[in-house]
Amino acid sequence: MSVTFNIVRSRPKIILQLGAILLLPWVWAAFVMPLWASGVCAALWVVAFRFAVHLFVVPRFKRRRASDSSLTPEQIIDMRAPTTGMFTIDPQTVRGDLDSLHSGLRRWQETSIVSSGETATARDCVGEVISQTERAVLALTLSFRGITTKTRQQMETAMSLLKRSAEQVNISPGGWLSLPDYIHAYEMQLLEVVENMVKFSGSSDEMLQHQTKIREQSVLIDELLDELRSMATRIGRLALDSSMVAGESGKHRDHLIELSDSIRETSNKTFDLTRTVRKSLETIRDELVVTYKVINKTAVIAKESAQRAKADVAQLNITMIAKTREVEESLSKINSLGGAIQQDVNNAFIAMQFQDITQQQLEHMRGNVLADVVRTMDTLSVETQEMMKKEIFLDIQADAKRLNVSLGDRPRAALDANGAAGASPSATEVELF
Amino acid sequence: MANILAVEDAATMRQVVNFTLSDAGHTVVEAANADEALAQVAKSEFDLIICDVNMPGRNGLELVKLLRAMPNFRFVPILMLTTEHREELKAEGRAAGATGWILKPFDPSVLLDVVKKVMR
Repeated sequence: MSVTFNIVRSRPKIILQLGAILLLPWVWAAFVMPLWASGVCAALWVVAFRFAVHLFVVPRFKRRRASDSSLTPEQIIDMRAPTTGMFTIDPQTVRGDLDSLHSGLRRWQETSIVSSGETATARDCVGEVISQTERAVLALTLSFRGITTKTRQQMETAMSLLKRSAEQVNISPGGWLSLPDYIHAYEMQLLEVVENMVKFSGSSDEMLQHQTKIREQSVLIDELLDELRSMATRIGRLALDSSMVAGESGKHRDHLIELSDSIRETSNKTFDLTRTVRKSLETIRDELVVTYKVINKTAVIAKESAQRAKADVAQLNITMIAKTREVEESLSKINSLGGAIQQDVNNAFIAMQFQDITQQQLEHMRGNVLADVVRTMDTLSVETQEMMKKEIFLDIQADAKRLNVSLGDRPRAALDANGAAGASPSATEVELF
Repeated sequence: MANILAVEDAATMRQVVNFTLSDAGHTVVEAANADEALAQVAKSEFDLIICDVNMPGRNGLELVKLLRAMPNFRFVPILMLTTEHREELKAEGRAAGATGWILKPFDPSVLLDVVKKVMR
């Protein structure tokens, strides 16, 4: 019952519309109907009205009230309704409340002044932060660029070691050589040395062959000497025989003996000479044997040295090629690292740009937000100061007194169920609800 | 290599743009605002202009309009380098005569690619 009453009180328009809708079917025929039928219709209208209110209006009303709190609509209405006692507060109490309000406003004003000053300080600090950050990032960027430039130069210098010069064939003495050029030149020099050693070894072999031929010739000479010696012996014997024959002959005996003696003497001399030549030949042969042994030994050493040198050069070349490859690989790694460094540089440059974006945001905060805050705080301070003026408080006191009189006589039920007249700080606002 | 004018109010960003482009062999002249940029274009010829949008005084779009009104800079490519990504602002830039719109933060290699592309 009380719910229906509350609904009627809070939603009179809806209730009137609903009543009118239910009344219409009877009203148009009321003039032609008998009185008893009109009475039945009136009774039915009351029943239908109650039924319609409970069916359509009450559930919506309850739903809406349910969101307010767990309190029943009656409790909410009771709480919102102004008490009669509130409007009968003693003016002295109102004065005390106003003093409290005054001191509260004073504190608020003081706080807003302090906050305004602090916000201005914060604004200056933000400006300083922007300036310092910019200087720091500028210095960082410069240093970073210096590092990257030097790193790139190092990398380029290292990579140039591998570049084969186009004019490597005609390199001036003392001129700059790249690493591959140097290796190539060294390799050519070593090959030349090995070739010379091989040539020397070949010459030794040739010399040995000549020596062998000389030895063969000396054997021939030896044989000729033997023949010559035998011929000289035979001539000596023939001369002796001739001398003996000449002694037996008469007429030219002396002359023939003299001749045969001369021949024998010459034969003996020839024999002696062949012996001397043989001795010389034997000496030469002995010397040749010694020379042959020495040359042979030298040739063997030279040959072995040449072969060893050739093997060493080959090994050295293999090692140098391997080393060159290692250097190439290392430099390739350096090169790829250079690419990675470039990527890092790009990333660092991107990161440095965030400083600019942050700076823009800070500038916005400093120029707009903080400036607005300072302005707002100043305005609040001024307005609070205005509110603290005594005339306003006197007006409020006067209004409170008037309110006490005007509202004290009003019946509680006449107040709007949804209104919070008593809660409103402004007495004149009560009429709006 | 190109002669490029970089108009940017933030010193760090100017420096990053300068380093990126000068490392690639371009000649870069810096301007901190639109007025400095106008002073630079009055005394030198540029092959490309890279310009920020939000700057104190005249903004980047106003500068673009002024440059496009000059006979020497009617066909010079102008790239906008900004944090602004609003479509209406981009449309405004396009209408003013900007050639391209690069969002910050930018990758230096991307900037170089774009510069190469617009310089063809």
